[in-house]
Amino acid sequence: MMTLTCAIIDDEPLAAQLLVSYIKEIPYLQLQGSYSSALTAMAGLRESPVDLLFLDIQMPELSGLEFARLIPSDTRIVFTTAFKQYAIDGYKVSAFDYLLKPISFDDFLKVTDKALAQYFKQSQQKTVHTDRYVFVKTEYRLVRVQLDDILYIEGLKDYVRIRLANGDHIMSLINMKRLEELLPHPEFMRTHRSYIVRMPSVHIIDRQRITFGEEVIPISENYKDGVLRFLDEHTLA
Amino acid sequence: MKKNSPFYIVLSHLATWLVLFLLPMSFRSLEFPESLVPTVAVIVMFYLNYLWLTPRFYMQGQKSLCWIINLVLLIGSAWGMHQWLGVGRGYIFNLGVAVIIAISTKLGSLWQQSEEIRLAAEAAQTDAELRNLRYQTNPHFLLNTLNNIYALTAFDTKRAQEAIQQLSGMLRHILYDNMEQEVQLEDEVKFLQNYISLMKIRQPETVEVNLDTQQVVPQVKIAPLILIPLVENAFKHGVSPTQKSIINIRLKADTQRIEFCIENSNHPKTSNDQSGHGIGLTQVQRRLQLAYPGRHTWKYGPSEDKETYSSQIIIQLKD
Repeated sequence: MMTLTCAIIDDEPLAAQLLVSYIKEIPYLQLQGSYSSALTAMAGLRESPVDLLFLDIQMPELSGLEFARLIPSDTRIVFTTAFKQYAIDGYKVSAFDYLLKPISFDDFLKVTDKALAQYFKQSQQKTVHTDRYVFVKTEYRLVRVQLDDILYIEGLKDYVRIRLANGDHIMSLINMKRLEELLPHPEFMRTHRSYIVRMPSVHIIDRQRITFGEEVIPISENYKDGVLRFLDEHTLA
Repeated sequence: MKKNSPFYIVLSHLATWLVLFLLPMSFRSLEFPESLVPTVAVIVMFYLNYLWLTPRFYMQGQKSLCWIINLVLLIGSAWGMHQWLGVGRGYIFNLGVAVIIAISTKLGSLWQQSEEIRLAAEAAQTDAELRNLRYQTNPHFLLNTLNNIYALTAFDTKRAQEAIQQLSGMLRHILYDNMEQEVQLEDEVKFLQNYISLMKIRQPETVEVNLDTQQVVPQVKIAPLILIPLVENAFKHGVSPTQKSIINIRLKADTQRIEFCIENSNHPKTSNDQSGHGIGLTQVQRRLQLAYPGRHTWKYGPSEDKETYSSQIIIQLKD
């Protein structure tokens, strides 16, 4: 099970105490510290950054907005404030989300769930990129697919067809968008609403299409620019 | 009877004419009804100018046109009366005097009217200023207090209930007593106590607040909510989330004078956080001037070592 480390900065003790009690209720959250001012939190959060920081905006000495610029960018910031205007300002320093006080447990959980989902996606992506294989579900079994073996992926109505270099293909119930996010870019490139191509596997390419032996993959207007940019970087003129 | 009611105006006009015509004049030699004509001519010239020529021409910047019309009418009527009724040529001066009196009376009354309007506007402005200066709950205080009460309900229901009562008390005082010119000082003290107690919920234990009101005699009155901005200010600038902070408030009052002292630790804000600074204090100054003109003193400033900041208001009461 994945866990997220988190911290709270709030100058009002009760506000912090409430969030601490919420964090204790949520199994995947691990509280690293609760601080009463940005200044006292600074050293700790720089040395061992947390995944998720609940940061009050309206504080004396150093406001949450200023503090947000001073900590590592890996930390996702959730601003906690009683004032909508501050929350809007928070987005300007690329906050992950904001919570309007008073904060209910439901609102809190919604935001942490969202953060967990994002972290999960991110870590999965990292794993796939380094290990260079994925398991895909096909007919009640999981089949390992080596990224290097893929020619292209075709999106059909509810599932995808992964075409491999050895002539085989694998059918699986996955969403094209999810796949595109997971696979390394620009090695894997969308050329069409229904096609993702592994560029290093391509044999021949011209303006409108990519050919793998007998098979022809179209390049649509919408995705043309990306493909051309890739080609510019890989073409001997 | 109001001074400028229509009845009064008509009456004063009639009286003036009566006096005027009892005086001996050159046309007295004429027989009735011919003697009536010069009289009517004077009245006509007067009202022609009073009701029409002055507002229509003189006041619209066409002064010379007004004079030309008058001159033509004066010469014409005087010559006519001389030709047909044998009125003395000098009667033109009587008519001329009527014209001048009409114009000056009209101008005078208009000037008086505009003066009244100006005074009314001035009074309305002072009233509006007082209304503006009236204390308004800081929405930040309300929202922050509600948030803390929300958290309290999870940990300390009894204290949460107390806090809601204190907040109700404060709002009642602001909604109703704030409209009065003066309120009982005891009510004002209760208000300050509620405020401090609600602010304390929000502060860490490093903050100490003392309110001493032991030397307040009953039945003393004060303009409402004049002191609270100073307390707000003390919390704003005197409280640090990390360092020890103290706020000391002392209120003394007898039938002669009210003395209010507030002293707090000095934790100046960073230069880029001056939210709302000074506005509340300007209002305090203005309200003191309006409510206790020449009968108050207000001293404030940091101590020599800059460790604390203090403020002292003394109000001399009328007896």
